[in-house]
Amino acid sequence: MISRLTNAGFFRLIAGAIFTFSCHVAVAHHSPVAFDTDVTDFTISGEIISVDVRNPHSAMTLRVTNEDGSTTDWDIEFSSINLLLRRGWDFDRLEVGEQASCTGNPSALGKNEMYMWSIVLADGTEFSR
Amino acid sequence: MSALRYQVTRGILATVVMFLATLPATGSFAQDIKMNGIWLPDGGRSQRTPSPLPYSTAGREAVTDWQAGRDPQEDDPGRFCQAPGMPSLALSGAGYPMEIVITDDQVLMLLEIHQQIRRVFLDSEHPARTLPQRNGHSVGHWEGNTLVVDTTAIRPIFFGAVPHTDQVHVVERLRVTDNGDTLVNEVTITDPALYTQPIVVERYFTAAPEGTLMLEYECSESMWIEHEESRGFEPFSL
Repeated sequence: MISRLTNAGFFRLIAGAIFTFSCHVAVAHHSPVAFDTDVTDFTISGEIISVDVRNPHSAMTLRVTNEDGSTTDWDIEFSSINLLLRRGWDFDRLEVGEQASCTGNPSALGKNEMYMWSIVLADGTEFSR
Repeated sequence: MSALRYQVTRGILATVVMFLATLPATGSFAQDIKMNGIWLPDGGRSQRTPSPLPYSTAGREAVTDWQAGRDPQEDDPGRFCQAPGMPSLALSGAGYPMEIVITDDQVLMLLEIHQQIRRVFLDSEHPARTLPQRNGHSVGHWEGNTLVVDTTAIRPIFFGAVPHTDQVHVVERLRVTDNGDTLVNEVTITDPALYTQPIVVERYFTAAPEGTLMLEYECSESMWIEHEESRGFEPFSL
């Protein structure tokens, strides 16, 4: 994955990342104690409302439809832009309005928050650590 | 060959080998040891920082007092892009690369995380008085192919991997193995004000694949955006 991060790909990916910034979300950097790291398979699915890929951590808002038909916006924190680039994440693919399934650690405090380690898009494309 | 002649020859050879091992770095030397370049942390092979740390009674009290009243989330220094500096920087478990640049009189360690630069002044002495800084003041020398780095004048900080006072002293021994594929850094930390014994951690790095780029690490954009919003501005798309 790292060897793919050469000049040509690098600038294209950065451009994609900057594009996603146009839809701003509140950026958080939580301490690891904010998440239950013993649970690694916590998964939620919904519509991407916003994406913000940056250092030290990235953030996404996912709108999840509840059983009663109402919706809840979840704050999702994930890794830094630098590390995600080296892991082969294509930020062009994280588009607002897309359906996605996110897996990671739930909030340790029962909040509508999670730390995401992997994401599966509607067409099955997966990005993970 | 007589026993005496054998002993003399062996002694001369040993002396020559020891002399060669202490020669200063030259351009070809720097190339030969293959330490120049970008290295990726190898979390799998690296030792973890001991837990719990070997606090003395007084040391534990000092750190506990500092932590008292601080919320691990709200008061997390990481939220404010605080770089912990040395010795935590040498122990970082995060996956960010480090580039080593060897010159005749310095070894530069360029760390992507928090865009840190460490300067190791070769064959030099620590100044009698110097400004305490988060990464301290580092001097180094070569012992054969091993770079020995001695760091002092580190600002006291109680967050990060190893809380420390102004008495902290760090010695690192860096060497390349596996025909240039592996960099090992044996880190020894002493701080008699907090710890009863040295903290020794061996960190491993893997040579980065061809084409790997060091990236910038701008960390405070989110704080700037929050400021913009608090002032009623539409945040600039960075």
